[in-house]
Amino acid sequence: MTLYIVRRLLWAVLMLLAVSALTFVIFYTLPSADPAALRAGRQATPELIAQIRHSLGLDRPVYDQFFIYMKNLVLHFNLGYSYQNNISVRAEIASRLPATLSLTAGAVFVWMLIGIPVGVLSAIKPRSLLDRVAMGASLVGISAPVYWLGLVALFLFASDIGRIRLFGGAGSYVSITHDPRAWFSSLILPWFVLAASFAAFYARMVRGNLLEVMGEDYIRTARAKGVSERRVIVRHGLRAALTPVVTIIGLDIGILLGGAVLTETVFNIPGIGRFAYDSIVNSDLPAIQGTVLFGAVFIVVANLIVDILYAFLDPRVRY
Amino acid sequence: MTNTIRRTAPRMTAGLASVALAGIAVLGLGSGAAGAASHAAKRGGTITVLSAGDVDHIDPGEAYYSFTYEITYATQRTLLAYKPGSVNAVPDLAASMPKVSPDGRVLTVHIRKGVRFSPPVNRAVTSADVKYAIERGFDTSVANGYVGAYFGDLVGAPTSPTHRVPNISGIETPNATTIVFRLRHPSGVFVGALGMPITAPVPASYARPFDAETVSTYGLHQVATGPYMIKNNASGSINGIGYQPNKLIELVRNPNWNAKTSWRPANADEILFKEGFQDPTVMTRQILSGSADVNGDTPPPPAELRSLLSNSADKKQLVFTPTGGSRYIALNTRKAPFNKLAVREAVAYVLDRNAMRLTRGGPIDGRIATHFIDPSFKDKGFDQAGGLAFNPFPSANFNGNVAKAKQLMKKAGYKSGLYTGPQVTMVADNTPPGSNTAEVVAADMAKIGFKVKTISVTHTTMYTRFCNVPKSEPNICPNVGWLPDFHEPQTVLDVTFNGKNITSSNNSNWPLLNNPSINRAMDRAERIVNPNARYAAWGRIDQMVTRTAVAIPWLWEQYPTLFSSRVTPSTELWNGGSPDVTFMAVK
Amino acid sequence: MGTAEALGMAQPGGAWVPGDEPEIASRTQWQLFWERFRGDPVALVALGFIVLEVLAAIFAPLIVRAVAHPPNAQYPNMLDPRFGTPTGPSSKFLFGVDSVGEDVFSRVLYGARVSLEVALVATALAVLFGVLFGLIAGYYRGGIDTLISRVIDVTLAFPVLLLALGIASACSLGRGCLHGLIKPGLTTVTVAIVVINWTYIGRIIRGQVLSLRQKEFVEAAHAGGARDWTIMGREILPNLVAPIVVYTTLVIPQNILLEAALSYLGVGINPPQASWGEMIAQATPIFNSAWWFFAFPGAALLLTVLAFNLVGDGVRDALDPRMAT
Repeated sequence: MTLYIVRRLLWAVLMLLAVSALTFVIFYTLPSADPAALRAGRQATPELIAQIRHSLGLDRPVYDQFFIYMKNLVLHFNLGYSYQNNISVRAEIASRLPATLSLTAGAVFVWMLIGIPVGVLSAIKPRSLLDRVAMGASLVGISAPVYWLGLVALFLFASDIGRIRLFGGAGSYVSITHDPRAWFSSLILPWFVLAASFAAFYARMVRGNLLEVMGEDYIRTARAKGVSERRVIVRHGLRAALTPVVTIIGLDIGILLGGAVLTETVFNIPGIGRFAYDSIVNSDLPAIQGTVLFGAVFIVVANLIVDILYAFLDPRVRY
Repeated sequence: MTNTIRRTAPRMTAGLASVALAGIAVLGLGSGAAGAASHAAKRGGTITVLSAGDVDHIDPGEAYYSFTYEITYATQRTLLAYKPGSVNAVPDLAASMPKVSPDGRVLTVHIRKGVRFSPPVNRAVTSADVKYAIERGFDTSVANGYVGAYFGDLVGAPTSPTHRVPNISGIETPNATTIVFRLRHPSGVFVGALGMPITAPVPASYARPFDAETVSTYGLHQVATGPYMIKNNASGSINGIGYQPNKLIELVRNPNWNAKTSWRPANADEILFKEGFQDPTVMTRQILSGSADVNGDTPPPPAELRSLLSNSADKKQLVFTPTGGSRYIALNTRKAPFNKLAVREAVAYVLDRNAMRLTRGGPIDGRIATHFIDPSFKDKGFDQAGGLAFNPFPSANFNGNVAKAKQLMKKAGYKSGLYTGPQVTMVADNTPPGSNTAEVVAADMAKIGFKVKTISVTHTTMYTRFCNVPKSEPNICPNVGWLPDFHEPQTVLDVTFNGKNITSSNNSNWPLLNNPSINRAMDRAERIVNPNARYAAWGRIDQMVTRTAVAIPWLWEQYPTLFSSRVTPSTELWNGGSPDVTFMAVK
Repeated sequence: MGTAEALGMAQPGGAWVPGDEPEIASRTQWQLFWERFRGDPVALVALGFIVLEVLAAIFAPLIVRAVAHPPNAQYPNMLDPRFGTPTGPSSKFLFGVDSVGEDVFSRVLYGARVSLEVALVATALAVLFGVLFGLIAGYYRGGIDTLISRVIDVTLAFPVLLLALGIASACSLGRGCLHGLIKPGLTTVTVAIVVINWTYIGRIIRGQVLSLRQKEFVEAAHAGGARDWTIMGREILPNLVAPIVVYTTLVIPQNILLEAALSYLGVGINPPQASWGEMIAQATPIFNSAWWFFAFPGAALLLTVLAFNLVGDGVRDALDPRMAT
């Protein structure tokens, strides 16, 4: 077992290295804004730009730049400095982490709270009105683009421009330490919008799983043995139906922690997703590297945890 | 001014007289309110400024953007500075206006006593600090963008950027409060340049270690001489404290600022610049609801302006300011087909400037431009350029004249009046309103047969990778424009249309115009010390440049600034309508 | 696999009287599938909607000529002359105009072309590559499997949207990437989608192939001297049809949304070409007042994705009646 874990860990590290390299390759070739020219300001002479290029290390061969970057990363945890404003990428990510965490944690909470019970109830009473309405709403939830839903939500409920002024609008995010109330109000709409598609997905998945499980033989046996329906569902059905859900939640959280780009953009939340998008658009290579790596770490870690959990539960998996 | 290189809304100004819409609060409010505010205003409170983007550079020696200036001029004292409703520089750090020698080559400035740096430097400002501030602009680690253009004529100034801070012999400091500038040639505009941020003092011994790095980090450790300072820690660093890039800039009072030495009221105790507001509607709503006080770099969108102007209470909080510059379409004259005059003239005729202005909001956005010196210059070049009457490519209602355009195309050799050559390329903004303007241009050019291939990129990329780089420049750069660096017509024509100012990167002469007679006229005009003669010369140059149709001006912009009802308004006429936080007050 | 059985064969345990047996037509799996699908009214309606949409997209030029205006033509006179703000739905402009005065109705119609092309072409290509590489990896195992699997793993470790953004950004400038092979616009978006998508199905197919190749019929074919590619094509591939179909139906709506997201973020389709995502992005600054400009493209996107989801549900249910709801 430990051997398996060790092997997976090693592989995880290797993957992150590969992700770094791949990021470098993709974004290095980005023929976008020239960082040396950006720094140089107006009327810069070619010599000046060459100077700055040299100081930023941009005139070195690619593999050299990559090696220096990796060395800094591994030895000093230094993610480099943004081309835009010379700020430490690591510090920037750290300062934006609370916003992304707030968004992710709240959204997960909301979609679990809605998605799972809805899925269970729909499965218990298939084809009922509740089921149809819930599944219909779920379908809409997974079909609507999140930024469009965000605009609709703002259009209807934003406290500054909405038809019914209820919750904080775009750009109203403040950190929880600053003003808990405003923080909460500013995140309600983003939470629900982000959770919508996930809740829908989980509702459908839970419903499908539970229905399938309920058709299994051992459920029939339990019923035949006279176990109450409620016990049947809760004790036997749910456990089997929810196990795959747990793993997928882990993966989804991993993905979201890398930053929900679209939601953060629509609601102007200063999180990591937004930072990633801004850096890509500005060809800010160090910032891109940092944010992509950050996101990849969470994905890889989530996968790792899930794999290890599975290995615990099912020894066959450890090949 | 180069703020057109950044973000969405480079501020442009239109003529004072052009604000013909009924009941719009005009810039008269700016100076009037400034006067009233400085006497009766309450002290204290916090002012919040909202912006979409960040400053271009936090280092005052690098700053070259109207939004950045809102912070720079609140925290730094330049030799000369501007009061809100004015375009004429008055002494700030200087004790009085500079004395200019009769031949125009020597300027003597005395600096005030009693001006001190903020913590942690704390000591009194001396002339050596101003000398160092200007010299460091030539160092590659600072790389100031205008120091070559306006200070390059100092005796001993380097001809290209240097690896260390140079010692410029032409800046003499005979004593601690006197600076003597020696120029190689006489200049009528050097005085104006003394109002630029590079003249704000920088303590040499404190700054040298930062400037010694490849890219100077003085900006993150800067000290202030103005009424406010960027909040820092005990060792002087503002990074993560008063300066959180793309998020927040916090100004607090400078404890070492002596109100008796300054004409700035500095009413508020604290000023917060909150950044990242990409949605101008949200920004506007926040200001109207009072949760913020003014827009810093983005105007309220046309839809909001429409509702604001229909409400008399809201109207009072809106101030329109001419920006003094113009927006134009640049045509690359180094490549076919725009190397031919007749083809360029055809484009000048076919463009529907009215539709283009509509993409930015229509008449409230300013007058349609017919040449480059804008109406706010009045008799300082605008009248001399022919004023409103000078319109070499007229059309009814500025909607464009397709017939005349086709005629010109025929003259250029296209028998049918329609272009028959290969595709032409255009690099445009990928966000509104720049993207919309570009779409209109492409549609108009299609009327004379041009198939325009549009490449949409971010505003910054459009400049740094394409339009500013002659080698990669497309045929058309539709989203360019220029603001005056200070109130002299030279500053809107020289950098942008003089052949000697073409550089191989970060170039601002987008049409790549290199016309010997125009170049000669400009070089001569730069040396004219007598103002009237100077304005007459630049007026003529404006006409010459406009007639070449290498760039087609289409807007003399006026910029709307929206204030919340809890503050007294104050806008910088010299800075495109940006709010002047040192004159605003919380009611 | 069901092979059609001859009619009227002897049933064990009963006397056979010629002519009095009802015709028992046994059905192929596909016929079963189609019957089940046919019995699902919601899926049928959704399919109908998609067919209609495809037709509308194909005949867009005719429709537009009849009731609307060319999608890239600008009508600045439809903008408020004082503020430049667009006007809403009217009899001449069914869905109103956008901020440069273009007909929103026409652009929504032409936008369908982009979304449908992505749905079909990009997905098809992604599935093609995924199946191909999954087959190779699962069948040959060993070194090549390790290589392909590792490539899949690394690609999957990338935050999806960032990877798509990166590729799209890199190729959306100037002459595009790979020396102009991948031009900005639809091609770039397609490439980005393919690069991301093939990994998911590759993994699934690989898993399936790994287990399938152990089965007896494969061994038998091997023993019979059949070549690898024949085995892969004749024996294994037919068994993969179900997961391929299921996966495809799952991923088409996702890809439509992905293209729209990329266009919304400014790296996909650019003006003047019409794309629903790009239209929503353009509408965002004025969505508060010009509601039609974001409502109609958004609704079109929603309905299209919804339809594909419903059809997907119907297909999956029809393939596996145990899961039928």
